[in-house]
Amino acid sequence: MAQFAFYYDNSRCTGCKTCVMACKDYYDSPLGIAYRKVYDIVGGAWNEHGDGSYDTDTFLYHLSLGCQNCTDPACVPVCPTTAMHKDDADQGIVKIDETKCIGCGFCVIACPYNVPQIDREAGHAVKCEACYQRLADGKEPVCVSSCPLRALDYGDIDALRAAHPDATDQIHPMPAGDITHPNVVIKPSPAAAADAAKTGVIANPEEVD
Amino acid sequence: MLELTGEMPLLLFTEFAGISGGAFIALFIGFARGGFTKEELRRIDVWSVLFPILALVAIICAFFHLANPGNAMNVMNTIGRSPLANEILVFGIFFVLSVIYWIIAIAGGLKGAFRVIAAGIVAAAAIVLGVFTGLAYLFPTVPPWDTPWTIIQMLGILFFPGVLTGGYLLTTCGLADNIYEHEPAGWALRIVMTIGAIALILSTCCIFGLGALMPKITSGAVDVVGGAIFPFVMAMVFSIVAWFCGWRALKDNSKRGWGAVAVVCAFFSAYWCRYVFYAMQISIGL
Repeated sequence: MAQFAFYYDNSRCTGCKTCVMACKDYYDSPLGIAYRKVYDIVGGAWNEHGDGSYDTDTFLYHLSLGCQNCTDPACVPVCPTTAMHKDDADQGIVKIDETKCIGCGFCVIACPYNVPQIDREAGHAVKCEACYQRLADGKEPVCVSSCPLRALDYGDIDALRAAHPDATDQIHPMPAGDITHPNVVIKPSPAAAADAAKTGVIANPEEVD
Repeated sequence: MLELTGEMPLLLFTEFAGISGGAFIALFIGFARGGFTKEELRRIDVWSVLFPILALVAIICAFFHLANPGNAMNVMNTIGRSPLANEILVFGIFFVLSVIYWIIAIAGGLKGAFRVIAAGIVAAAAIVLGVFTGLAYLFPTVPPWDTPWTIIQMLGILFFPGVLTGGYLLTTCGLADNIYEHEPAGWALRIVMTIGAIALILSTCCIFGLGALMPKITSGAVDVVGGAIFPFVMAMVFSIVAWFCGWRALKDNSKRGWGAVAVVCAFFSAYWCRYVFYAMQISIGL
């Protein structure tokens, strides 16, 4: 059975956030709601030598994430109404049934990828749902088609993993993939692949909150 | 200080529900060991309406947290599977039992051993509520919450601020007037309250400590643990003051002012301990 997954080429991503804005524009998301988020990860320092010269090990990379449509999603078992559910009949996309959602926010607490949000205006949780209606019409997800660097793609998880054997499902600060088994394929940039990346911090926490 | 506006309704729900439940534990202990006169029991029955009212206030607070309370009946879909749905069900059972208890009490139906049994049933439901409320917060992806300390903190609220509040009602209705008549109850309440205080203080310390150990992945703008230091200090101060005043009040009715101070401090103790809990909502990921 096909499992939808995003492919994200972290080595191409410039952090322009066109994907974020294209999604917000398409879904008319209100202020504070973003189905896709781009995290700016920074780290390292400038090191002074005694002779007035410096060297640096600073690094920066970006992390664009929608929903990982996890095999064991943390958000689904905590939902008290089954509003949050994994639609195995539709490529395993994790969706929200707005007619059932009470907006309790437990999915927001549980998700380690900061994906669901509560839209209090709409009265329910909202999240990236892989543009499943566009997929049904034979179109691409909006973020994929809008990315100017062609850093985003999508497809069946097994096909993506076969096409990108060196890719991973986790770069810092994402949690380890053995917790929720995210269905995402990421080609890390050199900065994200380096050991020093583990010391990186999110430089735009209020933007992605 | 860390801003937790969004979590305030649930904070108040868990605080008030816990104190309401703990008050019935105090009533059970008092009735089981106390030896009250008919007039004292009548006063207790009238004023114990405050406890179901407090539970009602708790659930009203919880409804303010929901983005769409209109879909609340859908919670029935996951009873037995969803920890939150189970908690809601157990709260409903506790609330209904507390209301039935009070109606029977005010109608004069709580006679003899039935009074103790009735209070015991509601008290047992309250303890179950405390456990299920704690279970609802065991998120594997939130390590500071995913430990038994989460359940112990809820039980601490039942057995410390809750028992203290119920015990204060008993003292104002005569518990500490005739020390030698009521003393077994007084001792039992003081011991239970102390165990509850230890549970609440220790669990809050452990939850805060676990949060402090979590890796910090955001740049300096938001320091979650640093922002929770003030609430943590307030939780400890109010807990210790509440215990001290409560111990004096439950021992000697001439210290009735101490009892009032103890109850107020106990409410603040529960508030700040839950504040620390919600502040430690630190995910393993983003």
